[in-house]
Amino acid sequence: MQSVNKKVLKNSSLVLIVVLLLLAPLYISNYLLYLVGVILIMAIVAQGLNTMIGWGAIFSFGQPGFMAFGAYFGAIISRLFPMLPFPVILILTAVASALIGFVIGFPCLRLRGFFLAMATYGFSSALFVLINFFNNLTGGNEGMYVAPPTFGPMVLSSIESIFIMIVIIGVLTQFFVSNISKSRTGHAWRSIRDGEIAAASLGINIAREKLKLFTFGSCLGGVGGVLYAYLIGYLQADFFSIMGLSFFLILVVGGIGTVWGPLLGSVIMMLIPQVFGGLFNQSMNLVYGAILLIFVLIAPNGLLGMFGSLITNVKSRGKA
Amino acid sequence: MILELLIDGLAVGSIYALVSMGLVLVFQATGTLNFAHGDIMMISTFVAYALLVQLGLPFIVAIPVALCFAAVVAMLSERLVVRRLVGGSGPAIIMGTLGISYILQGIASGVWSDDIFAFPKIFKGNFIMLGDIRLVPQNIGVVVSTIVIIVVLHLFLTKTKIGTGLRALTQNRVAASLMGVRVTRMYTLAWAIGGLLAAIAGVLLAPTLFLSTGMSEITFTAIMCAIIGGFGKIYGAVIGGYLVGIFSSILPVYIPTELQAIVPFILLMIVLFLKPTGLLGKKTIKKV
Repeated sequence: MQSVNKKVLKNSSLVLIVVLLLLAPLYISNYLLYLVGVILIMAIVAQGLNTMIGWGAIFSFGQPGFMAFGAYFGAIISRLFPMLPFPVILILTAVASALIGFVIGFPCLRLRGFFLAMATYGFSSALFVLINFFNNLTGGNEGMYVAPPTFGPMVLSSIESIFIMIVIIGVLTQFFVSNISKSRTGHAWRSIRDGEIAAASLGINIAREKLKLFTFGSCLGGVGGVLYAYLIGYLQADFFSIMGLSFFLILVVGGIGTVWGPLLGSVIMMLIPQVFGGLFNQSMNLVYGAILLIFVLIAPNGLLGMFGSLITNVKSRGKA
Repeated sequence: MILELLIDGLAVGSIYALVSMGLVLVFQATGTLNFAHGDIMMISTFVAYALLVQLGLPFIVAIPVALCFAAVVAMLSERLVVRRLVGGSGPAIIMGTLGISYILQGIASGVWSDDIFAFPKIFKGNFIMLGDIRLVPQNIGVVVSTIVIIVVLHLFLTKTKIGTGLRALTQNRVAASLMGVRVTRMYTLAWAIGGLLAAIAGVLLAPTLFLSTGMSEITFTAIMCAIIGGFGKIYGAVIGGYLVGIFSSILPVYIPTELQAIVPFILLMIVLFLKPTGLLGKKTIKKV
């Protein structure tokens, strides 16, 4: 009985948060909308990395690359085919990013650990070089403007409409990931993380499951990228290359392998520059490095893991 | 023309070889890929710069101090961070060394800023003409000192007792500790040598490329070199380093210069496609 009540409480509070977010354009300023939008986008992309690292132990440096790919792909096809409505562009980008993930993952996933990490890093950095090289298509170093998304005859140029789309995609991502984590596939993926050989002996096709995971993660990267392109309306390869390691920070702070960790991590990582920015303007990297080390050494399961163990501690104490 | 580029490539390759040798040495001994390797190189080169230019000390004082600084930073990283994470999950170690990398970056840009600095030349002098070929003293100096360092390292690893212990550790950790090798000391030693190699590479590289905090990105190229050579082997790192150096110097004659940056990646992909264990690597099967 109690657990049913808890479930209702949890679900209704989630619905409340989503409604509050959807109505956010009514009561917060454009700057805040932009900030929350970026947080949600980072959370979507970090969720992709989260499933890769947290479930499949696939250590990928490729996420900024997939984000850049999605952003430029969406921007270029919306320029070439101005009549395409926004959802079509979104789906096309998701499919294209997944396809690229599949193609990159197929040879790379034969590698393990560090080797895989380097191959994905190579993909990212090669992509940034190529973006600047094909400057007639991408604007090269000068960057390119992104046409506002359209939906039939409507032009959704205001930040409010773009924000709402980001919220919808974010909610879908979160819903999908939390469902898949409870499914058969989710269990299979986590068993790969815990021991590849043991998982293989249970009849899980490691190579295929890893490829699925990588494809899924890259797809989320691409979707985050195209949303980012629409949110800021202007693209440069540098935007993505400087993101480099920030997704790892988000995951470590939030909690690797947890469903809500990426979101929590993104919120905190966005607040940190606001808090420490004035103090350490030259050496923000010092702050990030210290945060990374503190979490890795003291709370390797991130904030969510820490809260989780606190709650279980309190509970077990109550029973004793 | 091609010969001159080849010598340029040898000089660049020497730097890559030094950096990736340090990486592989640390990886072999402690099983950790040090993502802060390039940052240790960068910050100790900055220390050398501060002593040489800002304090006006001679090379003979400044360089050894910078090298010691690098060794100390590497040892501290091992003691304070990596040792606590070894045996934990793979991502934790990667994140740990990435954290060190961030911190060193932050310190360097806080103390010296992200600007570009000109580092004084160690090997001075005019071009030496050898027939038609123009030899730059800096390049010759880099290549020769790298070869000397490789030979010294080889002698250390094969002829001394400590070096043999270090090699024993890479083959079988338990057996080595049973034979009286002090494992934790060897870990520290391997990191110290790695730091030294990185600092030497930094001091050799800085006069040709300018000194800046962005220098630390060499870590990633060096890891690619090491993988190309076969990650388990120190001499593989040397071969990979020279291959990447030579190809990225010569290929821009035939392909657009903007694409030079992806040469290491393309080489890596080709090698991994043909031989997934790298050029010198042997196939290993993981046993339970």
